[in-house]
Formats: sequence, structure tokens, C-alpha cells
Amino acid sequence: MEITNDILAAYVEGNVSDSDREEIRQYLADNPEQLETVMIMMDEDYDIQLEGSHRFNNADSFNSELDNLLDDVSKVPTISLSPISKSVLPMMSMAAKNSVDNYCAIRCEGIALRKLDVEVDDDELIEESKKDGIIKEHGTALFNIGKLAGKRGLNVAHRYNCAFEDISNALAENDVVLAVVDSSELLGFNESESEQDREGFSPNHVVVVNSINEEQITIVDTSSSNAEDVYTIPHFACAWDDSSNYLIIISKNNKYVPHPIDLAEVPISGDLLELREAIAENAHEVWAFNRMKEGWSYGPFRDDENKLHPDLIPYNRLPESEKEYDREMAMNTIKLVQKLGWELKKKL
Amino acid sequence: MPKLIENSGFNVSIDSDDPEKPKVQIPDGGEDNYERRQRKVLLMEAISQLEDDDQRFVILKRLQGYNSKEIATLLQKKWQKYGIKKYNNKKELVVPNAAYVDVRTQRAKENLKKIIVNIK
Repeated sequence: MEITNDILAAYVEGNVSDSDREEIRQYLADNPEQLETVMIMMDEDYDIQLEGSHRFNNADSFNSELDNLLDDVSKVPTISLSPISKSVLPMMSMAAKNSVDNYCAIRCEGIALRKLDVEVDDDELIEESKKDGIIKEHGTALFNIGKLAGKRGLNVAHRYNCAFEDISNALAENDVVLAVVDSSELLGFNESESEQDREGFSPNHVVVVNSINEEQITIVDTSSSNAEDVYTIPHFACAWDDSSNYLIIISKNNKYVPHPIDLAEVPISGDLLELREAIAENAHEVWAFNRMKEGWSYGPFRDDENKLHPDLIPYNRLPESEKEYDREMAMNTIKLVQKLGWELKKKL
Repeated sequence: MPKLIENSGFNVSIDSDDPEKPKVQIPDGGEDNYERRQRKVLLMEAISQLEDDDQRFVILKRLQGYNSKEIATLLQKKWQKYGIKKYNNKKELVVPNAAYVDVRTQRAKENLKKIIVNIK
């Protein structure tokens, strides 16, 4: 088949048979310079250009943009391909990947630090974040938010499944509250956006909460031109919900209240129960190995001075109460891995 | 006597004159090898299948070398051309800016990945 512009136009519009499509694909792979023609055919608004012609003026420029796009699309995490279940915590999601410069998490930490009387410069924080690997190409992973504050000796709590009451309680303690939201829902561009969002949650933006009451919430959004933005509670809830109501609470307050992630609903069965026992046993091996390396040995009673410990025996001989401690740790680890969105599969 | 070259573990005859033997596609050695070019073709095809007009627009203008701020200006022109008006949840008129374009771009990339996975 001779590939003419008419054929390519039909291909662009999807009006070719499967066999013709295959042939055209082969032709385009053999003649990649034709992809630029395809792109122009595809653009119904090709006449809309900026005066002064900023647009590309050679094939290399188009190729380079296409390369960048291909790489970016390849890097889109697979997890976003299916809806993130509400039972999964999106800890590995990137904050700021949708904002203008990918630095919203860092800028929010900068605001938090200054609120807590730690003088910092945002540009220096950004450089520090890059150096420390806190910020990646597409933003800051949610679990990394707060590391800059932590480095400066402040208390940082990462908390999922929070309620608005948690925000007001933290603000009442003069803590700084960062909330992770879906920026599209926060900005609420149009109805079609909410349709799209049914396909998955996108916790991709961090904001600082300034105040909250029963009707509205006031935030600092580093991608907004306003000093503060006010949203109704239902509107903000919609955007915040996408992060499984994730908060990062930064505080000078030394009051520590543990908030372990609730794993009660995470199911575990079959092979994973065997894995639990294997992890529990190995945890004991690691603990015993390190103790012995430090000079500890078996003794019927614990004796810190003489480095004696009754549990320095094989796992199978441990009392059930001690085994249960290791099993619980193992169980929580397995459940947490699942809760954070990973899948455990048996290979052998 | 045909010469033999090593190609990913397979010996491939490149100058056999035996008409019975099928032609062999030799991948390029460079970065933009045949497989990558095929992926680019599928990517272009996926762009044509983007359902959201704004997403397709921002991606095509990106390929034409514009940055987010410039694309926002182009999008304003487009909306003006077609008489499109969009309102946010506060009932305020939306004026596309760089952040709007970036959100559309990111959504488009996510959708492109989905489309490519499902392309036959």
C-alpha cells in the first residue's frame, strides 16, 4: 500500500482497517520523520499559534519533545492506572507533580518552619531537598514530607485517616498542619474533572492549613496567587479525601501521641500466614545475631551488666509469649506493605 | 557464504541471497532504536485517542515546542475562538494559566499510559 497523506489522515481519524493500521504503523516506525506530519494533521487547532512563532522550527525540536513525552508517559506509575482503593494509603504518591514547579511540598515546609520561628529560605530548602534525595523529578513522595523539619529538630507526625477535628486540635496546640490534596479537585475546574476523578485518586498537592471552623477552611496554597484561599468544608473534604485524609503535623511541642496506621481491616491468609512465621523467625535470628555480636550470651535471667539474656535460644524453643511478639511485628509488617499499596506474590 | 552476526543471542543472516528465507529487520544500534520508534508511533496514536479536548490540545502544543505559560495563552485563544467558558466550583470564570495547563498535561500523560496499554 502506498502511504499517502490521505491515508495518514484516515489513520489519524481512526478510519482504517486493522491490517492497514498495522502497515501504517510499520511505515511510521520506518519513517519517523513522518510523525511530525501526523502531529500536524492531528491538531485541529494548528492555526492557533503565538505571534512571533515560538513554535518548533525543525524536526529535531519535535523529536526532542516527543522523546520527552515518551519518557514522561513511561514513568507514569502503574499504580495510577487503576483506582487507588480507599483501603490503600498512597504513601508513595508524589506531592507536587501537578503544580507549576513541583516544589509545593518544600515550600509548605518552608512556611511551616518560619511559623515555628526557624528562619529558612525556600531556595536553600529546595537545594537541600535535591541533595538529600527528598525531592525527585516528579515531586516529593508523601512519606518524605516533613523531613526538612525533622532535620531541624522539630517533631513531625505523619497521620492518615484524619478528621477535621484532628486539624482543629493541632492548630489549637499551635502546631503547623500540612494537608495533602488532589489539586484538580481543590481548584475544581469543571464538572468533567470530577468525572475523571472516579477513575482514581490523585493526592498530588500540599497546602498549609491556617484555620478551620465548622463551615470553611483557610489554607495557604503555594500555587495560588492569593495569600490565603478559603474553601467550604465539603469542597476541601472532596480534595483531601484523595490522600486518605493525610496530614503532616509539625510541632515544637514535645507531647508525643503515637498514631500507628490502622491495619485491623487488612486481610491476611494462606501463604502470607506462612510468610509471617518465616519473618518472625528471621527477626529473632537477626536480633540474636546482633546481641551475640555485642557480647551477649544465654542466661536463665536477663542480666544487663553481664550481658545475659534468656531469649538467646533457637526460635522454636522460645516461649509462645515471645514468639507472639515477633509474630505480631511480622503480621503488622505484611499488613502495612499491603496497606501501602504493594502486592506480595509467592514466586516458588 | 553468509556472514553471521550476533543479535541478542540469535545468529541472523544479513546477506543471504536465498529467496526462501524471510527478510530480517535489524534493529538500529543507536538510542532511537526500532522498538523506541514503534513506541513513539503508538504514543502518537494514543494522543489522537485522548477524549478530553484540552488534554489533547496541551499535548500537541507541547510537541510544537511551547511551554506551559505559552500554552495557557494559546488555550485562552482557543476558548475565545470557540466561545468556550468554564467555571470553577466557586462559580468563577476560569482563565487558563500555567498551573491549569500543567494539571491537564499530567492528566493527559496518565490517560496516554492507559490508552497505550490497551492499544491493539
